[in-house]
Amino acid sequence: MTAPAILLLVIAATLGTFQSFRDAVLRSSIRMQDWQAYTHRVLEGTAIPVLPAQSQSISASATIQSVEVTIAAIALAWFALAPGLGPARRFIGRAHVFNLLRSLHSGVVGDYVMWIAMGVVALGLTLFYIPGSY
Amino acid sequence: MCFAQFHLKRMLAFSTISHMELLFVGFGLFTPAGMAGLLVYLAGHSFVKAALFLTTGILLHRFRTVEELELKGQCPVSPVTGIVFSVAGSALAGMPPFTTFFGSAWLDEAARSSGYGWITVVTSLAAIATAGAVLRVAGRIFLGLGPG
Repeated sequence: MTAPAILLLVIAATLGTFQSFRDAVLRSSIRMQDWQAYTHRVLEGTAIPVLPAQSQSISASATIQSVEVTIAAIALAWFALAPGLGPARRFIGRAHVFNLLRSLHSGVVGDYVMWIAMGVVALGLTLFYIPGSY
Repeated sequence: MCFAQFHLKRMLAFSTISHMELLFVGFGLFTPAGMAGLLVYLAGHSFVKAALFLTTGILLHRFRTVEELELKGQCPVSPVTGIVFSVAGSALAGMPPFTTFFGSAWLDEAARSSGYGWITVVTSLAAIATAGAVLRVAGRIFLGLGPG
């Protein structure tokens, strides 16, 4: 029964490693944002050639950062489960943050849409209020 | 919100919401690299999330519940399911060589080159919280760790 899930994970693990896949995605992105091509197609009725694009290799710092994020996620999971960390979890639990967050969600689909909208607004406000970022 | 959930399907749904914000960031950057990062990330994320929902479906089929606390230590007999769940959780964090890693690396690079370096912090925190929640579930259900 787990075979389809394993297959999906194998695809997820291998798809990005193909240079041809990454190049094709980059070419599509460039084509999508090429306003001159749109203009040319509408006004002149002809297509302009798409410039060849090759995706850049991933830097070592990006790889290290991803490994650090994975280790931090494992550490977070460990903090939630480790038997010796009960007092620390109880200290956080007294703030009732998680209970408050759970109470803000009813399980109805509309709630998920509302949280997406809230996230977008939060990102937008951050963009406005961080000096020099807008 | 994702880390606060004990209901697996809700937790995965909130994880998706969290990652959707990442995709909005990629779209908002509107650079070729940002858009490419978005698309690559979306492809990788969809496969990983499908695997996670499929694994949750296996748990629901077998135990008639997807409540993390009720499932604690229930699944030592299905180590493969546990391994799939754990690996998928790590893929959500953008662990190499998963497609999500390439997508998030491109997005972060596009954000930095556009002058929005702080976005990297937001995306990293989102990845830590969502992957941490999935790995917590894996530890509790498949290894029987933690309170509950």
